[in-house]
Amino acid sequence: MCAQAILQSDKDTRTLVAMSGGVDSAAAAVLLHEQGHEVVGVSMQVWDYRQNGGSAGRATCCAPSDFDDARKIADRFRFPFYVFDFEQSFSANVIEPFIESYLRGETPNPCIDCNRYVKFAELRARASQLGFSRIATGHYARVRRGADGAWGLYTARDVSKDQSYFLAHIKREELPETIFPLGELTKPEVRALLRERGLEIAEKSESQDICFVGGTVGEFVAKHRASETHPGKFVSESGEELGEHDGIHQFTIGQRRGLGVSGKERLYVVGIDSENHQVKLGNKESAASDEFYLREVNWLIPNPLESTFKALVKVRYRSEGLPCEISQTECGIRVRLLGGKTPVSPGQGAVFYALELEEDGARQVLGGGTIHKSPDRESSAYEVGLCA
Amino acid sequence: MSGANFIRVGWELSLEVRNTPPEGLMDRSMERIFFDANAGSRLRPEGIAALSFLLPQFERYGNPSSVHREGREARALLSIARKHVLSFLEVPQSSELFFTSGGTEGCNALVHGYLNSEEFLSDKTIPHVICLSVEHPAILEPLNLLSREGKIQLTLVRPTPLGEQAADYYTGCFLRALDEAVERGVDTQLICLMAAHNESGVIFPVVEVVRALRQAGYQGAFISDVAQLVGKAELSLREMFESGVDAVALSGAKLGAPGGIGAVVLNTACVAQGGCRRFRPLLAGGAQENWLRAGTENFLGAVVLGTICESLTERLAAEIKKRSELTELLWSELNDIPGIICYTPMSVKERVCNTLLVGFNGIRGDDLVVALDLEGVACSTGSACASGRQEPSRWVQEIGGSAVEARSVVRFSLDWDATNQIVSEASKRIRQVVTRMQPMHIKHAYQDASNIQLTGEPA
Repeated sequence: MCAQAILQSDKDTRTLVAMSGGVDSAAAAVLLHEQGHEVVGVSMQVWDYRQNGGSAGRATCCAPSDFDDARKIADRFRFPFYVFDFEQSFSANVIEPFIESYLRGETPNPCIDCNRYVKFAELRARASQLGFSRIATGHYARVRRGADGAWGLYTARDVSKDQSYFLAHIKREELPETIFPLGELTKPEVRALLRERGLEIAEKSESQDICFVGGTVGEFVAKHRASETHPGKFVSESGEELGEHDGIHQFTIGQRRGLGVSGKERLYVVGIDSENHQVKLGNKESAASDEFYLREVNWLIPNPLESTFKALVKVRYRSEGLPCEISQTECGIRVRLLGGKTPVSPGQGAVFYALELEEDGARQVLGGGTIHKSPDRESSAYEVGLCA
Repeated sequence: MSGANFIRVGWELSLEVRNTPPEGLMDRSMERIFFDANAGSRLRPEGIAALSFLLPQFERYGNPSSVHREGREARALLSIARKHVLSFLEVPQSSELFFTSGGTEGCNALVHGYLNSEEFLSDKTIPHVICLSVEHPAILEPLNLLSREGKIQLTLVRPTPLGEQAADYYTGCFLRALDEAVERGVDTQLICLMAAHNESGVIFPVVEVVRALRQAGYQGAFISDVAQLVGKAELSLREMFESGVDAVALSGAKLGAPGGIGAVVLNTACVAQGGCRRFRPLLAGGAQENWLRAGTENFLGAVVLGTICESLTERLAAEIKKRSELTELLWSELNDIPGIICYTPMSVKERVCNTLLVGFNGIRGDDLVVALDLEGVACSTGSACASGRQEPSRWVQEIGGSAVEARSVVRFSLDWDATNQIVSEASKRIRQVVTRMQPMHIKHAYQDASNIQLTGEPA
């Protein structure tokens, strides 16, 4: 049952565990502590809840009361615990791009950016200042050496909880210093191990929302950039005006509900034009694409783009891996879906997985990027993925 | 045991404890080095002895206000404690001292206590208040709140890093602020000037300033937060009172008493002479502490504080000298670290004996505090860390330092039990940690804080 434990050398066992106050990061810290790591628990203060609101309920992430839950675990097992101030970095690297992206008609996934810039970059930089290089989190994913001896990122054993999608921007050379102790465990097993140790956090419910957004995303964007949101028109695919809306940031491709417009058939959002503030409506088929471009790609294998190669791609968190072909073109890195069309949203993460499973059922993550644009439509948007 | 015997035993105890050399209780491992005394110091052995004596005797917690014997016994001990603190502070026994829950309550009590005219309370006037921009939050926050609510006009005086002309500088600033208020037609009702700064350890020329203000005809209240000065420098509270200070607030936790006890001392001589202002209690609800501070007294805390004050009276000068030398030793062992800058003036008259505020070029203060904690050295950035967000150093900002410099600050405040050995070991660890953290390409020469430009204008 035991989780992945990697101690590079016996002398240097100090490991920084990022603790959100949630069940998973608590379990990660406890496991590593019991395995002999010198755990230092760190909660990241990314947002001033007192001043700015955000999810106020108990089931949230990274609020001050959550830090208390993390602190309790640290007190119980007697390892040091600190709260690090990341507000500036989070604001610049996650929140601002999030808002900008929505105003452009995209659908960003802030959790990907948080992992990419804050959790696995800035936190790691701060940790190395303190003399350690190893970071651990409670994500469901696996890091290990493959058959060829090279380090790789793999899906978790609990496929329903697998969070490798959010981790694709970890730098390949940093994999040996990244630990995911929960990679071989299922969620029920994680709660059980906490329960076995008499820890009440075992029963804590999990947040599914974006940690810094209290109401809807639309309200958040409107509140923070009121001057940049514009009302606009709904139009049909033929250009006919169908109605009015009060801001493109509230819509995502494939959306049916909340349009306030009706037509002969079911209407879906099929395109978003940020320049003219127009939301294009059409039928379900029109919302889907089979080709798109990527920006900001990170590879977790030696750069595979010398020639076109095939993989599975997830274009949003909660989707299956779709067979695709990836190639380097003059316009950038292009992904072609081979199995049919699906709604694709610029701003979302596209993460590539190996076509073949490993013997134990793990699937290697090859890399990931941000979906840029489909050539056949303007910016599209889709529902935001779920984070932990 | 009769009331009289109980008191006598208490008195004998304190004499006996005072004669025990503190070194007897000093053997500790070097695992943890505590350089954060300005936040809370080690409980002195006299304090521990007082508690060990008292606690087993408490069949009942006598409320000092009660009529019965248990209450009278408690009240008697409270009186002795009060006497000891007043003696230690060298103020007339007729001064009014009431015990508080600590420095913050004391400061709040003084701020609200002297903004109490009928006109003020009924919102008919908006008086003017002057204080330093680097006062402790326990003074600044109540004032900021009143200012935001439109109930006072607040003028902040910026500090100066320069030691020698400090008295002239501050006197000039406060007088100017007072004059400008007069020109605006506003009545100045309260002036606050702390005795020593919690971050930098700098001592402020309270006596010179208040004297000049009184001479200029200032009739309003003048209060001073002495929490960081008491026990760490020669405190002439008598001189302060004679020069026209109305009241001071102090904290037991900074003296080696447990947290949760402090005191406010009111200069009743001032009132008797027809000057200064009357104090309006913050906590109403009972006749305790002569109606000055309602609420059942922190009896244990008060007795511990009193015992400590009584035993310190004779030893204080020697302890201050020793601690001061150790602080200088610490600086001398660190001052060749590339990129280090010292914000505490080294001259003995200008600083309390135990504080060293330093900046390290290219290193975040909050990271350094964590790194040092992991290596067994406790210190702080000197400024509050509320809700996880690290505030930059107010002192550095106010003397003209940059935002980056203000985040690169660490405060070492030595406790009363520091020794040469502890200082040597600490400087070794600090150097190790700083060297590891320092970006390799930055090698700056040692800078003197007096290089920083200052406008000298009140803010």
